[in-house]
Amino acid sequence: MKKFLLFIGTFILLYVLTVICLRVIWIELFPQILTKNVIDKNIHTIVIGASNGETSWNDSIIVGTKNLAQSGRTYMSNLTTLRYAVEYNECSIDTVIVCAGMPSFLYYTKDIIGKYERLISDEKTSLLSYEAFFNCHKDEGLYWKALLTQNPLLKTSRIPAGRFVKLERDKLGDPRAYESINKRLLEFGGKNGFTEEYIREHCRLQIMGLRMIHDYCERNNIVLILYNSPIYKIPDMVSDRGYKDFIHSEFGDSILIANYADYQFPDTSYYGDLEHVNCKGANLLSNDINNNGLNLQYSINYCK
Amino acid sequence: MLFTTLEFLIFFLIVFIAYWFICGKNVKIQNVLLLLASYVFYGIAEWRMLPLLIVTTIVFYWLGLQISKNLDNKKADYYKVCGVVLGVGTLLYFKYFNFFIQSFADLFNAIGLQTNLHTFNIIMPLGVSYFTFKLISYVIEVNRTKMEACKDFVAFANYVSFFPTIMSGPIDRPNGFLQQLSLKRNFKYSLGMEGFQQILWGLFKKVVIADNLAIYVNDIWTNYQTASSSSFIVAMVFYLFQLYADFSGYSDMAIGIAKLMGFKVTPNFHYPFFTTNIAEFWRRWHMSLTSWVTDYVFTPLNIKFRDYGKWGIFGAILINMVIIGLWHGANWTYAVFGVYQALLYIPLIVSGRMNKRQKIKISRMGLPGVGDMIRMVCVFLLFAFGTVIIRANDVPHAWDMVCSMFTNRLFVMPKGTSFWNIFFIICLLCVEWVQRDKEFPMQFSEILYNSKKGLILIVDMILCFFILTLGNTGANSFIYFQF
Repeated sequence: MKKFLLFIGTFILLYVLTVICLRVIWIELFPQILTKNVIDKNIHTIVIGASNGETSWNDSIIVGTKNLAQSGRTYMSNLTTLRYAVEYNECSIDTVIVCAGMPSFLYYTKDIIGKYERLISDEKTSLLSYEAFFNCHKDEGLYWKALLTQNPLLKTSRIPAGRFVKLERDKLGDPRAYESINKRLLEFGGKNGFTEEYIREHCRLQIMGLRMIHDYCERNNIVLILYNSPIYKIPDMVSDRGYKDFIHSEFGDSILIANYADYQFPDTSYYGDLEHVNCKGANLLSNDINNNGLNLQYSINYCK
Repeated sequence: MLFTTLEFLIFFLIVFIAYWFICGKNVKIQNVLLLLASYVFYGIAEWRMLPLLIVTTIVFYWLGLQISKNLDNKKADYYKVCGVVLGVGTLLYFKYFNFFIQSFADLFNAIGLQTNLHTFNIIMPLGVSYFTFKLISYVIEVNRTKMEACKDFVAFANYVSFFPTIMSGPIDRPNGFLQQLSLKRNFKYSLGMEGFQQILWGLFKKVVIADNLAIYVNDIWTNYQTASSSSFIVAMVFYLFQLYADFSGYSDMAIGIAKLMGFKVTPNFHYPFFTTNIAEFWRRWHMSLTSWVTDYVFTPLNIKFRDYGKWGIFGAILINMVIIGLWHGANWTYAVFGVYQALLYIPLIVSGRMNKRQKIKISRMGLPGVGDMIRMVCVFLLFAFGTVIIRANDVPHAWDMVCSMFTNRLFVMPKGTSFWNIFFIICLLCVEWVQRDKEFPMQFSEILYNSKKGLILIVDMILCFFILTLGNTGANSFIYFQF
């Protein structure tokens, strides 16, 4: 029995050492190496968020900014991007622009924990795959809780995180059918639309992610701006009031807002679809921002 | 509580420590602890059926004693028949009652008669197919005087409900297992090491191979109507590998756990893919079930039908295979699967090679000859084709699935799969081929266990690395639990 226990003991020790080594290599070392100095030294402002930011902010026009937003991203993975951008690059980032607004905030949020869990458990992951290096959400309690309950130890997922995407998307064409987005919003929001209560109930991870980004910026003396990209048309039956209520009660007047949701383009050809501007729209908007600066407010025209 | 979960690891550690360090000196106390652990294990999984398990154990224990007392008169046969009827009846009621009711209702409806038959909400006890077969074999063996009736209730109850094997086998025979329960058990280093290796190998097969293949297989089989025929055939091949890795993985873990407790359990698989005919395949696939059905169904029937020559043999095989098929589940698809398997025996029966043991010619490179290789692939594909039938919801669905395999989209590129799936299938086949004379591929000699611990540790760490990084550890249930 002694011999056997000695073998098992050695095995467990080696196992633990291997796990620690893998964690160090994959979670600490590789992300640092691979994200180091990706951003130019003259960049002071980064844009993070989902597709709304990805398609509307042309960082080759707006001087001193880098667009790191990516389609389908949630705030949790945006936090990772932010951390790597700030911590592993020599540039000094003083402003972070986070795509917010109702569409980018809400479309990914219903059953967001389920979405993460599905990604974690269904997607077969490989620690050897490139993107897995970036799944290092080590300081997001709820995310790790979800992660650990599904996948103990080193399990990672293919949630794209930290991939630095330059805005190049050019989605020309007519806006998609108004009904389809209405239907989609109905599916998410239900009959009562997106009330503040609805958001608080269904978007816990998103709220936590946004709050973490806010706190991170505060700790590092970085100015945080919530940026609403232009939207062709908000469906009549779904008001974004819930979102406004939520932002106001969550952050009060302490957060800067750059609200371009109702930005006036000459015609509809500047949109890729109802929610996104295309390359033409992005260029027009970016030139406007570059020339005139961001139109900042301390609340989203809030009037209760 | 699956073997692959943390809960089971904690449960097993507690039992292991108590079993060897607290109760290690007294075999009776060890047996009591083992029984308690088994009932706790079963109770956690399905507490409502624990009384059934205990009651049937008591009844069969009593029947065994009665048979033993009355061996010199006809009463022994009467008690044996009672036991068999009770065992089969339990299985029929819990597993097949609704199936029969539904089948009768369908039949009456088909001939235009209105029936008022209703199905019941019957909960199928976990492992019922396994423990009833153990109980039946016990009364038969006692009646055949191949063993004495067990006079130690705790030992007998342990035989029925031994926690590593209660859920999905292997279906142990009473003779060997009850004997082990009566002997003093000392922890043997080599047996413990073997058990540990076997658990790790089983875990690797389950979480790395089976559960990863399941993703591709489930995707294609759920959407078979839109998937190309070529993708469907790939899914069919993968499914057989999945089935094998899943069930043999479970069996390896069960046998390995039993070895850590000092028991040797009947093996369930012996490299079935390296067989050149279907009879040999079945001799190596779910061995504990096939040998059970061979001993208690096929052999008596074969003797009974011997006057009918080759037709008699076929008849015995047909009944044998339909029983094996239906054992897997209450659905006509399983019966059709049985008939299909029996049909595959026809060339062997006609050529008189039924009982001929295969001899594979090995080339100088250590690989099987081309002829044998082709035969192996044929046997594999024929068996894999049969799995399409059992995977279907019903017979028309099975037919629909079979038809979708032969469309004009047979020669299009199949849907891509992960590199790792192919890699691990090849690894599995290579390792099994090289180690095919061993009980399981990670079995080493006693000398190696003592002198090359470093090498064994490296092998274990490699397995662990793959389990950790590529294993689908989402606590997926074992396929054979449903049977």
